Amino acid sequence: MRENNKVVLNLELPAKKYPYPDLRIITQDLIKTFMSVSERWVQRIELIVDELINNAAEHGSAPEDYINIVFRITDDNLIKICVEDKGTGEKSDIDHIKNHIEKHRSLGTMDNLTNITVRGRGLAHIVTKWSDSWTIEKNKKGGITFESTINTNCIN
Amino acid sequence: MSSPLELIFEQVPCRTGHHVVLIKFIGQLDESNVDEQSKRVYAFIEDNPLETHYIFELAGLEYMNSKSIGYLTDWYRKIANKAGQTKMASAQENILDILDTVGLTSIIEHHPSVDAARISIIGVSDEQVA
Repeated sequence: MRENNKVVLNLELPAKKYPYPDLRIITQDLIKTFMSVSERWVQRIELIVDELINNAAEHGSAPEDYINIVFRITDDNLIKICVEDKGTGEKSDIDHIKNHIEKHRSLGTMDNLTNITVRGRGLAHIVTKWSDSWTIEKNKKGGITFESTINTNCIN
Repeated sequence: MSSPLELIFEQVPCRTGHHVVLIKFIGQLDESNVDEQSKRVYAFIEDNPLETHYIFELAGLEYMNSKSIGYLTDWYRKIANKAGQTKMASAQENILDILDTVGLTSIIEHHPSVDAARISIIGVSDEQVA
């Protein structure tokens, strides 16, 4: 199916010490300029982006590497956020990430206090809950590509 | 480049004799600063005596990520291990949305004001004590 992209923004960010507040401002400006979304969802999408980048930086990238992020806003008001690492990090294993999400989703369902680690809530409790759909795949660079899609026709 | 964050530690006066302290978070908590700033909170918890109760005032907090939520949970555990209670107060709408989404408000009560959080800890208002 052909996808009609209204806007595509492709950024390459350093895995170590990428410009966190600047990326939030870019995300916010992009959404506010090209979409009609409530402030609540602008902030939710900012956090989805932040969590995906943090995950790619921490688990999928060596400090000297770069992470690729692509924002696609389609004519039918979907926003797709695609984050791609090169697999040079310590835990760049697709099964590990899938297991991590499943494990923390089930822990969260049972009792939030059973998740005793500082990490583990970003993908499992924020990205996958707030995305209408998400995919995780191996990419040609040897890393992992995580895509989150939000249908802004269905949110307020 | 680190995001701006100010942490303010204060005593909360209580006529009941309870030891209640306030930690105000002002700014943004994210990957750029949360590990460093959290050390100050851990040290503060460590330095306070047993049965110290904590109110995290979030009115000035504009942004937080999932790692910050992990630290909040860990501080809650440390405080509970020292027989203290933890409450959150005055969070902005976007922060409350995140806390609700990850289920943290079911563990740490959130109150609309610091005073309401304080009353929930000591059980009565200062006027009732007087």
